[in-house]
Amino acid sequence: MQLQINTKKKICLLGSYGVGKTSLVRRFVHNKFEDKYLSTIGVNISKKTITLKGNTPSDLAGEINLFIWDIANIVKFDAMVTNYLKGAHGAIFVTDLSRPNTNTQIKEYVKKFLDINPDAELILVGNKIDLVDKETIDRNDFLESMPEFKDNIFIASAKTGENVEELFNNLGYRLLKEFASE
Amino acid sequence: MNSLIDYLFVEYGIGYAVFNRDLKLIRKSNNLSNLLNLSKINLDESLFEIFPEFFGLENDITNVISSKIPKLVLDQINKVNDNGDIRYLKYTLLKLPGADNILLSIYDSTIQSQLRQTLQQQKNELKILQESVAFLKNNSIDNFLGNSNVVIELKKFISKVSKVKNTTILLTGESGTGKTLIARAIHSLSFDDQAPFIEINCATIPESLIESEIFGHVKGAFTNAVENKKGLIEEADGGTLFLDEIGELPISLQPKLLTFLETKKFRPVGSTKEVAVNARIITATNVNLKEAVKEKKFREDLYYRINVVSSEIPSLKERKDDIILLANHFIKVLSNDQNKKNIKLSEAAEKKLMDYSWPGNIRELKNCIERALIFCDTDIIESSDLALEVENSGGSSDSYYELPESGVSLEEVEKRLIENALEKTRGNQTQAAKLLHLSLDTFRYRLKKHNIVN
Repeated sequence: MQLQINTKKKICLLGSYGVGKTSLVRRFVHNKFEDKYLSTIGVNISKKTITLKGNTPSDLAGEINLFIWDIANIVKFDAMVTNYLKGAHGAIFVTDLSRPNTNTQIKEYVKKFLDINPDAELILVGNKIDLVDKETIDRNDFLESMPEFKDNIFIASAKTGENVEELFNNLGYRLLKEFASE
Repeated sequence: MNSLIDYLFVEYGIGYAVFNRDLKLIRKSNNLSNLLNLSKINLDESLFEIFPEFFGLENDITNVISSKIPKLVLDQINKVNDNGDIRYLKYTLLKLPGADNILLSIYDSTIQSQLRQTLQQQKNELKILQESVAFLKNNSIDNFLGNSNVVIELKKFISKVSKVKNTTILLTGESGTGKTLIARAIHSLSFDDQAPFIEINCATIPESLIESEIFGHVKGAFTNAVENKKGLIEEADGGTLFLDEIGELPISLQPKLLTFLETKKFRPVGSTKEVAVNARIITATNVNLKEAVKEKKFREDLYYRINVVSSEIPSLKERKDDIILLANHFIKVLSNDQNKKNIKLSEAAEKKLMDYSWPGNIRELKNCIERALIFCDTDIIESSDLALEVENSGGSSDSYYELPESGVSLEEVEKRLIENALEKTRGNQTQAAKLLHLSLDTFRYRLKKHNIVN
């Protein structure tokens, strides 16, 4: 008998300015992409329901309502930012593959985020693969420098849609699994 | 009185909602749904239905209700309407004095936030542009165009070797395949912008000057050495030394280069003091060095010293899939220089490019496109605009030229062939002479005869 679960989860998107957090959400929720960059300030909250169909009777299946918090580049982890992050079940940390500098803040973001939500599930996304040569992106570099993410690293493009659905679904599935084991 | 308050709320962008202990809505300002871009809000709806932003903050809400914390603030919450316009709201949740109910005040901070957003936008755009430009400049591997498998493998090679800065690299391959571009890509990926990239073409520096050019000299080392001069190796300290046409390096200088490669130290001409240089060495050649070793033109020990990591750069005929891509790239770049727009290749022209064997590789393709752009009168490059040499289809060498009815100037043909040979070999006279089956001396005589400046 397949276990059907319905639950709500809050996830946050974090990363430097211009890495494409808003674009990833827009692509995932509305399947749209805007070339024009619009800097986010504060937080933009979107909702999307993911339906996960298990392939076998023993697989997990169900619906997960994701509350996606697209948070502007964090300059300081003050009370306002802490309130944005509180109660999150997962986080997607985003870097821009065409701007290697955007990797540098991730470790600090992860640490602060886990201080507030120690049990949260994490994903690292290298966005804008459309702008760089795929063959030159050594995925192992990411893995070695970010052990916090284990194998949960995605190379994606909000512009082309590559891997966007997959990364949100991956997080959704892990949250569902986590929820089922509670 | 109520209408006055409503007016003030709308005027100042303020709204409120009161919830009971069960977090059900029991009172609200009339402008609430408008502030939240919602069509309707009903009493008895839950806090989380109306304000999903509070999902995940249940503990803090409980703490507000039990007065453990005075208030909970969420600022700069973006509310996007159907037109894409953003309203920025500030929520403050606090317990009403003397009651179990909680008050949520909503403040519309759009005007202030938009100002902040505009400033932030300008700042970020500038920073993103600067970072992206730096990346594109550094990531010159992308300048090596092509999607064929051999090019993909080559890019992997570049990416890997660039991570090991002290390995000597040997690039082999036909003339015009892009060895210099690859050396530059490895350099760019290995070092920062400031690091020097020093290129020495061993075939173009006269033998009498090459030692002093490469290793430098001290004042008085020889007749014209009026002052100390740093050699090109020393100029490469902290970066890359690219020794192109290494196969042409005089045999007499090879032991000195070998010593430098092994010790990273050398003595400038006439000096007794050693100079230490820390530079990544990349060498390139279009001659078969193994053969050169057999013929005693190249030292075996030097060959093994430079051949730590090597890559054979594919010729254009080995990457036929890239010919049209490269041709279109050159059309795009070169037509700008000639103030032409939207130039395209006709199908027949594409076929002609694909059928050709490209002995001069990418350089020949680029020159061919440049010539075609000059002579094409429309926005289509036709097959006839592509001046490609008649190919030797395996027949005897005397069968591949046909004398036109109008005749030709033999002198002019000879001059063109010599220029063409130099073009294909990037000015390497030894290689150019070989292409024309001439001795170097005869080749130089003819250069002089036709007044060709190399």
